[in-house]
Amino acid sequence: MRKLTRREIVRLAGIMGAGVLVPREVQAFGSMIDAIVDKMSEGIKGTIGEYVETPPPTPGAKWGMVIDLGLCIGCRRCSYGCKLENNVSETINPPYIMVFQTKYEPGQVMAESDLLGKHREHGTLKYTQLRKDRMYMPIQCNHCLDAPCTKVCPTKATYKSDDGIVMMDYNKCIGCRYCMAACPYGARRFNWSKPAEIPAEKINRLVPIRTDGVVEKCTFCVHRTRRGKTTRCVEVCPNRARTFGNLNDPDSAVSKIITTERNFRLKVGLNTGPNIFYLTDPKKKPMSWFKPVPLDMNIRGLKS
Amino acid sequence: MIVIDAINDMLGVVKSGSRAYYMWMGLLALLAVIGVLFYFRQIDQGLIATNMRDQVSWGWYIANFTFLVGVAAAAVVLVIPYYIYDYKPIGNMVLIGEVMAISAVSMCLMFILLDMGSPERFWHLIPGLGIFNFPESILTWDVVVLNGYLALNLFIVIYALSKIYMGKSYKTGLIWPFILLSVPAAISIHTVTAFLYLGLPARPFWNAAVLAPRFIASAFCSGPAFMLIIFQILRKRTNIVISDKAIHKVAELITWAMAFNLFFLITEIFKERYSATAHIAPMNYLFYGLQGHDHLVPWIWSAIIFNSIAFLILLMPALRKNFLTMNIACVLIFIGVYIEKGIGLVFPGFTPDTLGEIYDYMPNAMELWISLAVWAIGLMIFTIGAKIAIAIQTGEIGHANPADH
Repeated sequence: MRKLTRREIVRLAGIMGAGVLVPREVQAFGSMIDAIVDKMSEGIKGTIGEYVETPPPTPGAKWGMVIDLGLCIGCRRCSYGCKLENNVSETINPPYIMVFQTKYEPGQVMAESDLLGKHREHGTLKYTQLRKDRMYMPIQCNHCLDAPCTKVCPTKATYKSDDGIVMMDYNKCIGCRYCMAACPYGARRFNWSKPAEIPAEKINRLVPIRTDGVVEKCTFCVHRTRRGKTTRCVEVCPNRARTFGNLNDPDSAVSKIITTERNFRLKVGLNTGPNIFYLTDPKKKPMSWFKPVPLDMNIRGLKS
Repeated sequence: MIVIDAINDMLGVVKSGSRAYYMWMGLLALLAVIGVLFYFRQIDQGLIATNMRDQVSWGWYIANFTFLVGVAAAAVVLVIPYYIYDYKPIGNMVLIGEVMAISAVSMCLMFILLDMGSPERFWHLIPGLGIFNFPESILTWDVVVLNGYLALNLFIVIYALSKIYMGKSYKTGLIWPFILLSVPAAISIHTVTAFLYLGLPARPFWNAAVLAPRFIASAFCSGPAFMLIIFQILRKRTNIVISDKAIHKVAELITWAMAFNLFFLITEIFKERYSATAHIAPMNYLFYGLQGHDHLVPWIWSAIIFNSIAFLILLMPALRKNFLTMNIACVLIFIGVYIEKGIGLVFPGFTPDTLGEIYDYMPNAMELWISLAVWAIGLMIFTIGAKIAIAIQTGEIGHANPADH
């Protein structure tokens, strides 16, 4: 008689224990045991697959980003590029970057906004129609100075690193989702289901693959930025609406822009100290010169 | 051995009972089994099997949790008059009230576990084993006070019952400081749970100081209302003596708690309606509907109507002292506060979400079945606990004179 593996023993015990139950549930019980065994072994290395090491924080840096709303055309390449770069599963909708289309009519108390590429439709990303009477507004994690999400996390699974990035330790996340209640920017995503599998050739080996039951979010492409590169969203923006850099360095592009140009940040009244700055210089508005690049452009190919 | 005797005695009490007792426990066991089967599905598929999504990231489980923290805290309504003011008629009710607190806290812990995306990592919440973000995270405070309150009540109940079992008085010596501690502990569990919500500036609906006192006020009506109904059943079906006077006293306490609850509701509504900032959106969503999304509206208005009718009934001494009308008021309060603390607090806090999106959350059948199972398990704990407590208190079992053995 062949020797049973540990998993088979556990599973057998589960099935025997569930013998009294209705058949359909027996199977579910077995898969539950599987899920638990899987999870426990993951608990050691944290995420699915190989262990991915995150580079240490860049000394003296404080990362920040500037988004020029006058240049944003709402194409959502940032969102799509981010998704590919960070192994964001199809089950995470929308990905880390949301783009809103805002319409303001005189006499209205507040502008109306629509989230482009609504939930569940993201897989079929459509090229947004460029409209001159709309403003486009990308929103992602603001990597707040005093981040409410890190304050509320009971296990320090999300924390503020020395270079200003609000990080996630997927191994410590218990999935209580308190951070999602606390985040004023809707920047956090929970893996409600098992993440859809990403084809092996599309996996970015520098980024860990998350499991179900944990929260994930924008990391300012920590695997790139701490290695001296810029974030993917900056790289793929066809209209150069985004600038990323070190806010502690007075000569960096971001520092120069935010000290010389009019800018605002989201919900500053909450005193969280967001580190994404928005520019709204009307002079730069409609990009009559802009020629849309077809979407089948290989964003992935930009990487090498 | 006296402990073995006691355990045998207690097992005897649990095993023996009327047909109604067996049917009741059988029903609860059935509900528990059904819920556990549904829970397998949730474990298997993940929380996607619920109706919760990124926009409304807490739902029915946390709503039940919030309500039950109130029920647990309500034991203090009996503890204060009896222990602190020595109000004797309530005596026989106190221990049962504490048993109820124990079952309610157990249910709270079960609901938290259900809601966790990675429940097998719960040990991260054990200080020392995991990295416990104390005192920064209010959730860690909640872990501390809830478990502390559970331990405190378990200790008091077990100690008191073993003393009575031995035929001694228990109100002395060792236990007194723990009883005193249980009063602020009861207040703390509900306060900390309120702080959990009201400390989030991202959610304007919760970010109001009145939330904490309102939690306490609503807890002090819903919990005791439930107790009053249970006490009337118990005194009909068992030998325990609970006087009308005691019941009327508790009903009076409920009246004042409800008065405060309604008053706080009015202050909340006034503040939002009169200042009418953008932060009014969740309240409009709850009370009037927002952009055609109005599925919470009938719920909250029924809750307010139930609570108001119950308050008017209890306000009139003639109706308060009439058992029929008093029971109607208790049922209305229980349902009213359940809706108010569940549907009326958690869901609109997330709707519209921080960026204005509206996701109409309502629990699906699976969430309801699983929650029902938690209630069934909680009621089983309560039934067994109360049965043993009553048997010991009425002298049905006991070890009064060790020389007899």
